[in-house]
Amino acid sequence: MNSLVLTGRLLSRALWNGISSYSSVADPNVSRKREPCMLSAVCGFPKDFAKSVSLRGKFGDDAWFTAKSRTADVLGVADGVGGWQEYGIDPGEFSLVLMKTCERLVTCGRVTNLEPCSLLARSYYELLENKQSIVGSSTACIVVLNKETCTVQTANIGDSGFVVVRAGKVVHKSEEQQHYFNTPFQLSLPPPSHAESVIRDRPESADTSNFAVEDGDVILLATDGVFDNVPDSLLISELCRVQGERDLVKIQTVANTIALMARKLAFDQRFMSPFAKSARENGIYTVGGKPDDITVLLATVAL
Amino acid sequence: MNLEALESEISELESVSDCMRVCNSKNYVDQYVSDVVDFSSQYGSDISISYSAHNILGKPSKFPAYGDFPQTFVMKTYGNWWNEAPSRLEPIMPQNFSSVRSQDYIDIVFECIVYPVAIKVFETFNPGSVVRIWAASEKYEWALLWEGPSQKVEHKSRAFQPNLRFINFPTNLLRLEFDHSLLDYFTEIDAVLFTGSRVSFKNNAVIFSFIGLSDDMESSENESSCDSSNDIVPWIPSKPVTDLTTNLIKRNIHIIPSQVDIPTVLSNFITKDLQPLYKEFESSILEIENSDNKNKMGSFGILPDETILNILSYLDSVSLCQCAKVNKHLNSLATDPLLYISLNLKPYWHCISSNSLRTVSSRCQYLQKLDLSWCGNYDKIKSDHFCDFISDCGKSLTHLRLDCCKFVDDKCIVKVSSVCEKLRELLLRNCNLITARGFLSLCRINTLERLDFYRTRIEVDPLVKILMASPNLKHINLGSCNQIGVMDTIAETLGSYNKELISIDLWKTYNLTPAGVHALSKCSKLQEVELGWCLGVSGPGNCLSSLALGCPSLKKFFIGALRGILDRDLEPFLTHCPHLQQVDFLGVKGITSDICLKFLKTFKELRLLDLSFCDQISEADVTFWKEMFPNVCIKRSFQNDWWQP
Repeated sequence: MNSLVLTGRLLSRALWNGISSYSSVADPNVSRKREPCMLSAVCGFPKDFAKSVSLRGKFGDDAWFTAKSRTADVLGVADGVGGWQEYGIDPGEFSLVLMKTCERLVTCGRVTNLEPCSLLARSYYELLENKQSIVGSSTACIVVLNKETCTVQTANIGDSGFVVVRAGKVVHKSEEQQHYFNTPFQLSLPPPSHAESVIRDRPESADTSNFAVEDGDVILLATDGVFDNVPDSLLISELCRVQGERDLVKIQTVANTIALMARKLAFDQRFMSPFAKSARENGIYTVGGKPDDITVLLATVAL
Repeated sequence: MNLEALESEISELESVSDCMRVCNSKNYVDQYVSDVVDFSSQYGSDISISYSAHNILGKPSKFPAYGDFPQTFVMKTYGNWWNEAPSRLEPIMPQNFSSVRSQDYIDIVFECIVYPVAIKVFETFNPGSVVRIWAASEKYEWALLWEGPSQKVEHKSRAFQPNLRFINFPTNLLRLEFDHSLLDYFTEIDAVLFTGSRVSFKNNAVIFSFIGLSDDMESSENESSCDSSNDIVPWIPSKPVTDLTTNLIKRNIHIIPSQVDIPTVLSNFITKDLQPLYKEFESSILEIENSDNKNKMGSFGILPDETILNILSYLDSVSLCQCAKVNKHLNSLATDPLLYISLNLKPYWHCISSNSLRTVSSRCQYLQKLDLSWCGNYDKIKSDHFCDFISDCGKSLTHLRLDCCKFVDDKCIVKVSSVCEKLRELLLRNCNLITARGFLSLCRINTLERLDFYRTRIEVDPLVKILMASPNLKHINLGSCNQIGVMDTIAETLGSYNKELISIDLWKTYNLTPAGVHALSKCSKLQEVELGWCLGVSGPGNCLSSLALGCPSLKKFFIGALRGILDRDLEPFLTHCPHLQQVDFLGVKGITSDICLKFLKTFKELRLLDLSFCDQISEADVTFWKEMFPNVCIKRSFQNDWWQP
């Protein structure tokens, strides 16, 4: 009898403990109803380390940002057009300022419409509002995850771009926008003396898309330094490795791998790069990678 | 109060502060601005996040960096330059200005309602212009937390933390007031940190006031005691009584000698002295009674009413109201409508309500100039009551200033335009409730000479009709009016109907094009043209040369951020506009040192030249010019790596 009472007490205590420990495990999961987000990592290299100023948010003439607002997660990359160097203008400034302004617009909380195309347009027009006039041109690609609808909206102008990979397959990919070979669409603010001769595309002319995403989707944003050098098949097999990954370190590792791969192939003079293939299609006989600034912004979707 | 009580109270106070230090973490809240509810001006535009008022939100984004950054809150003016321009405003009732003046304000809201303990203002460019900090109670009664003159301080960023007065209510709405007059260039405010206590000081209020922490409380107590004594103690005429006393002294009867035969002296006094004394006393009493009315004011009463009125006309409004409390006669003088021909209530914005309007309305039959700017916000003045006031007192109104009066709606404007037939000046800055209907009614007035529509929602149609009806228009401000779809139409109307125009401000009107500037050049009397940030004029063609040819009396010419302007666009001014005094070339990156040197050499009256962000002009040139032309204030702003956090 005594033992029965004892076992009864032990049993109840065990049960009680079990329940309580169960609830302590379950509680945070219930209360921390995690909102959808993108887990992102960035890696990149400037084309020329010697000339490039090291600054958060830029790799050579490339620039990038990640920002969060209450309703959305936003990623963006931009590639400053190098031609301005001849006029004594730093091509990296325009792209960097464009991205930094996007970041401010997202985080200031006063912009209710976080549609990527209008974000790009507002950022572009905001450059005109600065006392310090900024000159140059840039391509840009922005990806916005809407936390309420779990959809991704994108805007892309020029030859930077994004790839969305799900279960080993490319489900969405940006269209390259080019006026002609190696001359992408670009946002520009030319100096007054060159106003007529510069290619200027309106921010509204960006290529936009809008699609639903699933948990675990992998999104890669990169500048042409990556897409021109790394063949798609190689890229996809790397991206598959972070499918559904929540560990930022692993995401970072893969981002580093892609960036290093692009860097290595860019300087490989015998490699038949996607850029060389495209050049041949346009009647220019060339071989090897295309040395360029490289920016890899890798993210997984966690719903 | 005896010494013991004092000591015990001081020790009590010490224990209070000790306890606060102990529960510091629990009771004190540090918070940054969560919203901007109102402001008087901003450098940026409403559609942009650069230099706009909302940049004061949240944590400092640039501090402790020092420079001209777009991430901060910047206001529209600095120094005295705007008061020296042709468009300057004539002061109304200058005796009402307090010694600490202010030109701008911003109303900021915080999340938690707390008792103010400390406020830190993060100034990242040209600090020193904060002059007042107010706190609003739940019912929007304002209490002054701090006041001080604007300061000339070092050119580096600072976190300004003034010593606050004690107030005994919790708040989450603050107002900062700014005085730019001492500034070298625009001031920039990055953020405001507000430290408050959740615990009330209410029980300790007496202690605080006793040891002089609260000037407000003391003064209010004094006032109330004065008031009550006025009611109870009758006013005694002083002069006749002293006469009587001197008579008594003369007769040597006020002192009773030590050893005298009292009965004899008394009988002597009764038979000999009493009779004449009584007569004298009687006559002096009569005199008092006769002169009662006149002499109630003492020797002041000798003066004729006109003279007293003239003296009173130098008094500020508060003193006048105090005079009105003295007695009936002074009351009738101090409330005389002749003293209320000009009325400036702007310095008293914090205590003006519908009631105050009602009180003064009986005195304002001849009111000609009224400045009600900044007054009546947060529902302190109802638009109906303002309309009543205008019906009663608006007949002879010529100047009406309603800057930042949020209560002004269509009804008010319709009332003004039907009553004030002689109106010459109408300032409606930031009155964003007025719609097309209200503005349209203004075309009934045809005497208008000055209009200020900065940041209002005026549209093309009403504005064109107003302009066509106002042939005498001299000054117009259309800055940041972003509802005007086609500014060129406005410019063309101005060019053909308003030939008397002296100044025009088109700050940040993006859709003005060179065609509009061409049209403006027909206003040949123009002395002041503000085209800052009219980005549509960036490629000017030859419109600036026609402006130079058309407006030879130009004194102030601002073309900030018109990036496309080149030297050749500015050459015509050298020969045609000899009187230029203030020139702003901020961000005009096309111009070179060449043209600037020519400007400096040609214009003998030049006082201000802003060359900030003119990329082609070297720092060395500017330094050299500053020494060569000491009479000219050459401005050169800077922002280093502004995108850095």
